[in-house]
Amino acid sequence: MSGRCEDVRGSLAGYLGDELPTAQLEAVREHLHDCAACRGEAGAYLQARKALQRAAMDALEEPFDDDELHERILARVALEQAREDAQPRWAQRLMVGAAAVLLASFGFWLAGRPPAMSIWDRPPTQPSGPEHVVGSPLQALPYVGPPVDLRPVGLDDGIGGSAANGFGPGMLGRGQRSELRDLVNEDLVLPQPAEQPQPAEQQQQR
Amino acid sequence: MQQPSPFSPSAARVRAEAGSKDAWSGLPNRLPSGVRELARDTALSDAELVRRSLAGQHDPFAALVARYQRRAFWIAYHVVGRVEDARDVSQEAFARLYRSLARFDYSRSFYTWFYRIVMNLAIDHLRKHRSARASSLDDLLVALEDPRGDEAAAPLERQEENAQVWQVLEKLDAKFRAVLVLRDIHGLSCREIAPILKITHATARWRLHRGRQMFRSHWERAYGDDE
Repeated sequence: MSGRCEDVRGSLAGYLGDELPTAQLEAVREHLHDCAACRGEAGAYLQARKALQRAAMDALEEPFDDDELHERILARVALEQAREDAQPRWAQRLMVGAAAVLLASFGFWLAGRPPAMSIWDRPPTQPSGPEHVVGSPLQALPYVGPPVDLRPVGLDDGIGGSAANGFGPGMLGRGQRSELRDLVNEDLVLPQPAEQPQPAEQQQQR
Repeated sequence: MQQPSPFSPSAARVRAEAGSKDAWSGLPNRLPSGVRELARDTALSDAELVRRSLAGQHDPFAALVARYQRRAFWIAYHVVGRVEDARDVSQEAFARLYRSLARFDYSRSFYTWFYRIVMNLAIDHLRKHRSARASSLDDLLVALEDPRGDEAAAPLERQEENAQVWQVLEKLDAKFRAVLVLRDIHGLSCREIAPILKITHATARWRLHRGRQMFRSHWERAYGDDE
């Protein structure tokens, strides 16, 4: 048996079932035309398959009561339906029972628990941490300057992007950085801390 | 000019050999008129019948049963090999269908989903109780009581051959048997078989190939020895 015969025999089942790609189908057909041994092999496959199909078709002719099967199936489904209808009531009872048990055990737990201490009854606690230590460098200093409008730079100050320069608002190009620097140097005056009135002066004013 | 090969697998011949899909379908005779109309209405899809059944109507589900009961029975029969077992499997398949109707995916075909239910039940059944069709006393009695008489009854040789076929089929593993039944008897393509058995197309083709090889070798051994 040649290598070609082996290949063809490997794909005979697919060939007879018309399940091969067209090119392969043609190749097998051509080989079968020339090779008697492979034709015999194909014949054996066909016979086995025909026997299977014949047996199936013969079974189809056996007496078979469709109506009886229909009734049996519907009766079985009705049983299923009845079970399904009964199930929610059963499940509902189970859930009510479980909820009652849970409630009762929660009540018992509450009754057996020691009385809770109110937050007002507790002793005051001292604040801890470096920000609470007097003289610490981390101590927060109050801001004494004028109110500052916090907005993203360039949003509406003429700084940053525009349709003309292709940048979005708040985006600074290389040239615009120096523009911002000039603006800061010229216009931005750091607020001076306001003088705190002396207690003696306050008393005199009164 | 090249002569057509006697083994040419023309589509028409394949369809004629593999029992056409219609051979395994059909409606029962005694159906209530409402159910019959729904079942026969080709414009009414299976998905629409499912939708109406879920809305609480009884007739659409009965129409689904009428449409598919014969196919369910025959697929089950060809896998489990016994009439009574096939009836049980088809009943159980419809009960399971009813239970899981709400989970039907409308974007997929109904028959693929339903065939999967039938096939799973049939394969489970087969694995639990190995079929004994050929030696079944019940089937022998059915054959003896055939009301068609001797004229219509198949010749003895044919009956013996059929019994051999079922015995050979029984020797195959359920996964090969399932593909063989769906392809060579029910005429489904491997593309249709793959989603039913939840396998890839390549696996379906491979199982078919192996199934046919095994069937043929068992068949030759059994039938050759007999002759």
